[in-house]
Amino acid sequence: MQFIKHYNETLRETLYSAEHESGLKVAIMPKPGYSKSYAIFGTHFGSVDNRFIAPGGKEEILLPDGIAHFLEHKMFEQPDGSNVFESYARHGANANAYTSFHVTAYLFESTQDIKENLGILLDFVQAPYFTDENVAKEQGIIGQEIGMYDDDPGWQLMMRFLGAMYHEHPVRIDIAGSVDSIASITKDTLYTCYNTFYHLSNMCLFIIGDVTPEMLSDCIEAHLKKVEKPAGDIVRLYGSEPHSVRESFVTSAMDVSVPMFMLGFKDADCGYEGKKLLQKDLELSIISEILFSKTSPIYTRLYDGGYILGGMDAETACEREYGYVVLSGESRNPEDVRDIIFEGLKKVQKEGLSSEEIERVCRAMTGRYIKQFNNLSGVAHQYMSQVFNGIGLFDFTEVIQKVTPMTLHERLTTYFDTERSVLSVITPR
Amino acid sequence: MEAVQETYMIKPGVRLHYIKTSQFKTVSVGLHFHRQLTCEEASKNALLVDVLRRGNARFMDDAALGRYLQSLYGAYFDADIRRKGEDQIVSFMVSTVADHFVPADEKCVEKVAGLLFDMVFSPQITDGAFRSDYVEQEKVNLINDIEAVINDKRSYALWRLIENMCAGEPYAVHELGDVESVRAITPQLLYQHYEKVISESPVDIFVTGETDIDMIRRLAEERFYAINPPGEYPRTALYRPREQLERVTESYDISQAKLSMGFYTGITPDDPRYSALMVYNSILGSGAHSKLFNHVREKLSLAYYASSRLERYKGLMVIASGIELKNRQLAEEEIFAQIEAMKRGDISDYEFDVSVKSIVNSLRSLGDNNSYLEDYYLGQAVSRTNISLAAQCERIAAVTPEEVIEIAGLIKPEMVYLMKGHDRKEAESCNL
Repeated sequence: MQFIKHYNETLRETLYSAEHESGLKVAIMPKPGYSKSYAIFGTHFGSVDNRFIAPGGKEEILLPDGIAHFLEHKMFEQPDGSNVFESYARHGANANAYTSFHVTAYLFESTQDIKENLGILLDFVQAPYFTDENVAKEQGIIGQEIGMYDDDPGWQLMMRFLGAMYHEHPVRIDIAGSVDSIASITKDTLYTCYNTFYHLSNMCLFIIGDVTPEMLSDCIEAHLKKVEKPAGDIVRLYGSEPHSVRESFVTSAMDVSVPMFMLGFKDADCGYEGKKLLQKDLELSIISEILFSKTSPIYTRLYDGGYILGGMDAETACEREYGYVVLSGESRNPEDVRDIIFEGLKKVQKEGLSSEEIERVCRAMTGRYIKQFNNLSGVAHQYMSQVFNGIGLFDFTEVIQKVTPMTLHERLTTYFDTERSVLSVITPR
Repeated sequence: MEAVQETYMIKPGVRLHYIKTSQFKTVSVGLHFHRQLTCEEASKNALLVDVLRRGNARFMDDAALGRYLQSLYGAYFDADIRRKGEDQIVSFMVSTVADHFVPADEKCVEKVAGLLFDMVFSPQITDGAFRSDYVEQEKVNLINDIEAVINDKRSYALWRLIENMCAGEPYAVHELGDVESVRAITPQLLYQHYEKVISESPVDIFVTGETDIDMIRRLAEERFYAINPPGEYPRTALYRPREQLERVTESYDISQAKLSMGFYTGITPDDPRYSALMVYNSILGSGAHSKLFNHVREKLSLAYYASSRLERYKGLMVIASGIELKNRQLAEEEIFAQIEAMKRGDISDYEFDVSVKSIVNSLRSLGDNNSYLEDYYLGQAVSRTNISLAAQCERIAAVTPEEVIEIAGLIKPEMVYLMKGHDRKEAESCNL
């Protein structure tokens, strides 16, 4: 593998990237001084990828809800019956895995035996072993996990929010699926998913910490299986999502002491990737901080007036096919919170953002961007969440320069449309 | 790479520790006031942190403070209460990107360090009292926090065990204090308490990263010029074992019962046998390789979770488990069976090796996080051990199975606490 060196002056960090002949993207970031190494091996396959046409195929395949997450669980089953976690533990590593809307990833961290641990990671993810018996057993286990999510007010608040915002896009479906949907999973559907989405050309490997490309290159090569290039691209089908929201207000009762709310705005300008997508993300983060953080008049009015209890978080989701900005918190009267936010928003949309404020928030974001590189797992997760959108770890420095008061004003007036908002509330029983 | 730790005595009760390392993008500064944990002042310390955090004489509210932090490249400020044994620590911390990442004239680190001292030494005071609106708001928040301690039954079942085991001792005082004491605090009383805290508490200042340490040293010397705190840290009284095993059962609104068990170890971090105790604890119940996890949970399915941890400053070990009430007897027997197995030396090579590796891995990982690193050395200061991370790793690696078996012989069961659902009304407490 031929590694290309990338240096970022703002961060004073170096990243090495390479593409293996299988199509696997590999990136390594040495962090001198760190004891730990963190490796993450991920595939561009999440819960939203439930309809697709396989490379070279013609037929559309519809998958049961929750299959990506189910597959993640089943990957730990080994043909020789060995226990992956035990193998890691012998080499002092902590291991884990997760499934998001877009990615399934397997990871470990350790302060020793990095090559051995990397070998374990690469080997087990390339060795699927599904049988009727082990699939049936997992249906029971995941059924219990789903029961846990059903009782989690924070998760239910979020899924009901997404369900109200989207008509068709599969982000409205729970990542774990339902007891009924996973009941229809068989070993054959798992192999279909595995063969399509776990092809090395659809995957990425990122390693950060006490490592160098020289140290790991041979180890990686030795553990990657020889595979044919795929016959073409995977065609992912997400339906045609209208700009409007499905419902603007949803509420349900659960075991909580104070009502919880999420208030979000739906993105109607999607279809971007790479630096354009990152620019949108940065613009929305800057606007959200100016509008909704502790320094803002809206927040001060909500907090001092007792409308919100214990603070309010703003978060942006910026994906190729969909996006939203969402505010969440606890309130005895979420509809009042919504009205105050709408009022404050209209005022700012009319008066515009002050350039002093923009400059200050950009400065804060630059500082936080640099600081983020203190945290190995944070960097690894950032890499994995952006790589399949065509965004690199170092793109921030260039893209933040493109953000101007003009682009921010445009984004502020077009994005935050109260007609495209959703208020989701969980009330006490 | 091992960070170098240097300590400067500003004066007998004020120590400045510099954890010098170039691995981080940031410089962080922490200011820690040590108080003897007592029933009388626990709530005052907790409330003091919450009120001081709201602003100072220059930045009077969240918005003004937030804007200043933004302008310093997204600097961070926070304050909290920690406890290390019977030492209740009132902590304030700041961090920002190191100066070489920003334009030369910004002096971010100096400004942020200045802000840290201002937050503590220049609060908003009128007529000898804190702002009453902040005090009232934070009293409500603190009472909410204290009342919420009961919500997480998993940790509450352990806390009730410790409260019962150490009843009447400072160790049984919660670091947030109690609701009654919070209600009684006025803005005047809190200010009087504040004056006592800043003048009468031993202080540790930690600087982590790479910076001009003399600049911070000068700032500290100026701020502590007229203050002469005592040099001795609060001490934690060692647990005194009971004559016999005691049982406590209580009922709460829960479906899954919790079985907590307390043991006397008699070993604190300043004891040469402490490293062997850490390995003992890891083999018994700390992680997926442990006996409790594999036998009680995996093999016999007697518990949803089962783990052990050290209450290191007190000379105790506690076990937490979540069980079906009907399995209570079997779960308890199996936990005791694992403790007995350790005494017999029934420890496999796998269990021993993986435990040592797991502890070393956790310790080394601390060094990769600036706040964990600071907290590790703060703990070393409290226990008066001052063992570097690297030295601690070496000690763990040098522990032998024989030493662990010797520790196993010292572990003495003290209390079994059961938290169950509401089928039987009154709590029972009896000796067996």
